[in-house]
Amino acid sequence: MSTEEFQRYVCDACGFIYDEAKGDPDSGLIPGTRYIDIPEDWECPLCGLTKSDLRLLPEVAALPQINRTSSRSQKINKGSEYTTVIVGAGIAGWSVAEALRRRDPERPILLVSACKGYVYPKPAISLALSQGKKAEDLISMDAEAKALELGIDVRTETRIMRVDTNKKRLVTVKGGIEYDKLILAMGAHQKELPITGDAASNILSVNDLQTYKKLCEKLENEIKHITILGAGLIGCEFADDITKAGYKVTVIDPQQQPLSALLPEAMSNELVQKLSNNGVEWKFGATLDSLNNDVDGAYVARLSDDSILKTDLVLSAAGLVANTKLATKMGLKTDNGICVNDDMQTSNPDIYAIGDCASLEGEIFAFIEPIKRQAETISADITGIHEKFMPLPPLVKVKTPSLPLSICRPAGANDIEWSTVSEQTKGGYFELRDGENMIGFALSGDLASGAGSIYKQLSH
Amino acid sequence: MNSIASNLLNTDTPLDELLDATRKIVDTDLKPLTVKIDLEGYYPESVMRKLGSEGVYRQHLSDMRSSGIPDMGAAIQAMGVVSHECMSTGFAIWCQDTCGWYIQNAANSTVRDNWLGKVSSGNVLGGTGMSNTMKAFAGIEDLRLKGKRVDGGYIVNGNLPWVSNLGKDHVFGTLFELEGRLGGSVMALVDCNAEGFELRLSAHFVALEGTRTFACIFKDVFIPDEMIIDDDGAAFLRRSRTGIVLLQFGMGIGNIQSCIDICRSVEPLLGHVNGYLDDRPDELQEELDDAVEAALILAEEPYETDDDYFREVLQLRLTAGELALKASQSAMLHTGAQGYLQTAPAQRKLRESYFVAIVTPAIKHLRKELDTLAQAA
Repeated sequence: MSTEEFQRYVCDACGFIYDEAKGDPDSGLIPGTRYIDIPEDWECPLCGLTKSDLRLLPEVAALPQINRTSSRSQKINKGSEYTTVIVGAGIAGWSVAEALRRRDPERPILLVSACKGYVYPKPAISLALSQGKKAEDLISMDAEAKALELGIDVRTETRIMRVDTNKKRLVTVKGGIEYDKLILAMGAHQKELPITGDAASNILSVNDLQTYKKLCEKLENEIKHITILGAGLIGCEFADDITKAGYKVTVIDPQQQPLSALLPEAMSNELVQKLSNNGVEWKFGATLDSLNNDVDGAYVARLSDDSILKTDLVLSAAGLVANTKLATKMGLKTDNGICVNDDMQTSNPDIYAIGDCASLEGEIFAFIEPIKRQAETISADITGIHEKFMPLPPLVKVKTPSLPLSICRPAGANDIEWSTVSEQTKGGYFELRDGENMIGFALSGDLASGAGSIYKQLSH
Repeated sequence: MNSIASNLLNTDTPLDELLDATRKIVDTDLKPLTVKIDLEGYYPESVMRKLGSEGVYRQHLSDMRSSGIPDMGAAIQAMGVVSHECMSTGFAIWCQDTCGWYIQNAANSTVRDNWLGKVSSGNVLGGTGMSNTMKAFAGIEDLRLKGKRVDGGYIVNGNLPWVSNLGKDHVFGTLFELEGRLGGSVMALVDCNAEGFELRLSAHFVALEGTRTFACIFKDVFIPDEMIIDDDGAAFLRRSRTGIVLLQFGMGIGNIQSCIDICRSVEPLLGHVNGYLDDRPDELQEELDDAVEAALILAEEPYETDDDYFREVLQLRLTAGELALKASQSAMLHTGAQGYLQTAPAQRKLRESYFVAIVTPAIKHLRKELDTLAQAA
């Protein structure tokens, strides 16, 4: 092993950090594996992108100082009639900032965020508890450092209250901001469920760093049992992670199997089995009706089948709903998200939308790979080039280490039955076929890591 | 709809009419008194009564609206019109409006039934002794009033250094610490005629004179149960705090706009040289317009108790304080020597603007609370 100092690389897409000293043992890269020795077919364990998406991590202080000038008025560039303003500091917001800066080194860019704007790999939240990681441990950079690196301005903890599309001006409590082009990267929130009871407002939904921090704070109390509402992607990932972190978990879902819209039944069953082996309890065909405080500090949950469950914490993972409130107020066209065309333009041609909040013909592309392509489309359009966004079905990686899953299922393929290619102990392989053509697939277990190459055949 | 409202009003005054009526009172009644208020400490009681009869104090009170929907934006804008001329009077309106806000938000319906109509019409004038409370809840100082539960009410002792818009027949809302209940506090309406209660005129200020500001001395003052607004003071403050701070924008908006107007008024004479100054009227106007728009949006949800929302209210309040200082400084520099005269508006605006910056919550208090909220997030 070379004695040269080990380097750290960051995945451009999701922020996963590859540390040469630690390697990536799950993918067979032993500690000490140098970047140049990473095989070309290696996949980022969080987002599935490749070795070429890793870049050297800049040496910037990773942790923000807590007591800095957060409360002071931020007297920074307010934006001007030439400025491109990005609203939102999630993966979508930062991605479009990066893409635009790469294409246009000069253009003034201002990123405005209601939160603190930390740069962190959002998919890592699903694996963080079992790894003992706190919210702070997931932060790779604070917003100011990232903005400095990109040569853009940033204004954090600043909610956009209203947009005057005629004057092209944003209203915030820290002053007005003029824009030339506006990009909405406003994300999504967990669906609110009609649950009654005096503890209903205590239900947590974890969808970002801040809410993950809240979860960690709650877990500092006497928590033994956690209830998860929803057996979708997030619900299953959390169920696996939380049981591994040592808690008892019950998952409640109105469907009869987990990830019912995505997986072949056999694979769903396998997932149920694997997670059950770790201690997950499932309540299918049921919903949570009410949540009330109990005398001992725990909660009493009443389910739609009249069964009663004692639990210490309830996490909602019932599905994401696009944040469209501001867009609606602005008069932009919305359906289940902010409507965009394949240039990612909204009904107002100076305003774009990206990521979890953007809907292209009713479909929302909430995964990292399409968001990256959307960012390219937007930055191309703004700089005068047309690179239309191709609405390809995304490759979905379910981060359930007890049974890794990789699925690609086109939106319109609900009527097509899965066909079994192979079912072995090391994993399953299913395909969706439209005549001669394979249009989708699902892989589980050890086979899941081979999804990248199959996906490439598909999209070409 | 509440019965009081249905008895009093058939429709709510449209905003334009309310502001026109307010402007008229300002022009005919208040303007001749402004210098006297500022320099001699004259309290414009007749103006206060007249504003009350025009409905200025009831806009933000749902029970006093025929629609049942509070219009805090209207209350802020009317206060702005008055503060534009004289911030002492604007401040007295804030005291009156805030007192009404406490009564509207009372957990005890008796206090609401007995007092809301009187205070919201200006028949009874009132104030707010909550500066100490807000500082205490922000960890800046201790609560100054202590109460003890007795049969039929509380006995309260202590003192508050200055409470405004008071007089013998006035009332004001305040909060006292409850002995024997750890962290317990009670919100009450105090009758200035109560036995053992004394108003002491002690302090004089560089501005905001003519606001009937007194030290309040409580010596075994009995506050009966029918004057108790809420026996859970902390819960009361949580649901009322945004309204208290939001209403203050009326003072800030009026002060800042008048400074801008002063700068503009000397433009024909001094524009050729004032062009060399920073913070020109058009720049200030843009900043003010942004702040007003944000304030009116926040004012649409005066009952929001969420911390993120309160953070925005505080942040905007900070912006208003800083902008007032900047605008009044600019008014001084734009007017030069003529603004320096003892009766000139510019120097009065300068002194008033410091009040926007230091009245609770002061700039330092706001920064502390914003830091606390940021760390909790």
